[in-house]
Amino acid sequence: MTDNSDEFDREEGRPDIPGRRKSYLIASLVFFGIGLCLLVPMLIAQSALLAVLAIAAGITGIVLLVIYFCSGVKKREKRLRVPAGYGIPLLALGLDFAGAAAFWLGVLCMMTIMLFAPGMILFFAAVAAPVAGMVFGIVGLCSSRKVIRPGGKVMCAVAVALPVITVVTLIILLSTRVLVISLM
Amino acid sequence: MAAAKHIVPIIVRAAINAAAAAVGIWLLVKFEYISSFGELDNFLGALPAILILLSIAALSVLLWMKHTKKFLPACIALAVAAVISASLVPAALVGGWWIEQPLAAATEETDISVYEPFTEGSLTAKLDEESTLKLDDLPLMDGATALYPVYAAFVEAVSTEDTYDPDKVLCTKTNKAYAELIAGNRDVIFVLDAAQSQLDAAEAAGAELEFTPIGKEAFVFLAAKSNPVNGLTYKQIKDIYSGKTAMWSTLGWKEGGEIVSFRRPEGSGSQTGLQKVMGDMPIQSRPLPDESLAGTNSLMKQMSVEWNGVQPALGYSYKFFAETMYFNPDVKILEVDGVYPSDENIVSGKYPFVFTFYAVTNGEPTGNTKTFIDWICSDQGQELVKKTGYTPIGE
Repeated sequence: MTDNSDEFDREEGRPDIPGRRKSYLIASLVFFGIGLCLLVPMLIAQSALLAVLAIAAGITGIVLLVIYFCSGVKKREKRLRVPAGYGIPLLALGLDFAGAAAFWLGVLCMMTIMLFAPGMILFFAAVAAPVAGMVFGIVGLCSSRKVIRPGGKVMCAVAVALPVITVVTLIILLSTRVLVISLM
Repeated sequence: MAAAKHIVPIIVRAAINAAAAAVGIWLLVKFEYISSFGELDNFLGALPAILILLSIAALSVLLWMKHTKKFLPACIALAVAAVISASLVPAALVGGWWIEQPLAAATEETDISVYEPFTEGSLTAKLDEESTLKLDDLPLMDGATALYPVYAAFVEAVSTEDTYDPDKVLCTKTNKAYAELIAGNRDVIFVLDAAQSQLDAAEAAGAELEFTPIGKEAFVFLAAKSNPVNGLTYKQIKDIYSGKTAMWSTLGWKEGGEIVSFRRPEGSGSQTGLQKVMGDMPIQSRPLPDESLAGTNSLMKQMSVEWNGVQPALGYSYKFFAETMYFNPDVKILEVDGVYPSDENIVSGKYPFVFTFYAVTNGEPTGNTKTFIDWICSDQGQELVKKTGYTPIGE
């Protein structure tokens, strides 16, 4: 794969600073840590201010994590021995299914051990992960054939369509009482 | 200069990001997702908050990622994701996803014939002395089912058996009564506050509704007697009907399962009452777990339904209707903020949900209609309000 085929290439003329990717990861972990530290006193004190700060820290952490992740796709492909041109499609589909897993884990948290905070975070992931999967799927569909193989494009199309079809199907099944809202 | 050129875009991005985050946080505070964080116990209830956070996150990533040609598809996709997430928030707040199933037709109407004037054994309240007003020609009246006993009592007091015309004393329920008044087919209706849809319909038709307060009634919340929860706080009520709380376990009944909260049709008196209780907080709709639970669509009967071995129903109505007109021995009235809606607590104002009911006319009342309404507001009319089971307007 040539340099031009990098999906998330660095800007021309701008040298890659070693450790810059790592700094994004460290920064995101720091913000998640701040958010978690604020979460416990927020729940105890029921403080709206602490909740706002925890949410802000969490969102900042998520943004930094996404940037970290986006900047290392090619490296990850090599490390995980992902076939060339299938990194993003696999990531997109993986996020879609991760969303479903996050939803059921969230339900387990809420129903079994009544952990509101982890349950809510998992519910957020249940929505955010498929959306991220759709974004990566769209990126894959718009990439050239050199970057994403035809099989990969199909996977990207599935990754984009799957959440939409799932949501529409659920709405129809729940509205017509074929499925019952009992864990939602 | 070069530094400024580098810093200004960062400042602009940070400002836009901060503004978006501020709007999102303001929405979370306005719809009480932060203060009710501990009461969120279901996915659908949390979905509006999730969508708000998602749109902020998508916008944040969009602002801070590289904006080069290679990233154009990602930028567009993120922008679309942010816009769609934000635009879905209003639908998520009201549960506007569901394909509405028509409510089961009511197979059992409340028997109001027991309150009909001048019938043997009629339960209408009576004055101790002769009425100071007698009308040969009654105005054409209509009203809510729950208020029929009181205006039937008015009619029996001001007319005689010879002058009484049953075709002038109708009871087509709140929705139809308002529609007919706006269309000019009624002289006066006896109802609670108008829903926004009814006010809009009146404005569209050029009708000016005049509301004359004639009494007060408590808006109550109902549950099955087998339900160990005896009262709810105002915050809990708002959390339930806004979708944040969907499980009885959050309210202290671990075996209760899902709260099966029955709703009344839009425009009905009790639904308008719930909207007044909720204020600006949107009411989130959820499909019933099973179609059979809709039953007769009579809310008082629905309180008795069983689901998964318990009676998890929650409903709302007006006190006189729940205690007298359509009494269900399976049902109890809940305290609100620790206050039971006794007569004493209603009069003293301790019970928080006491609403006024009105004689409503299309324009200023005139002729016999005005005379009738003035008499209702007099001591004798108010005596009948009290004897029927409501609270006089002056108390």
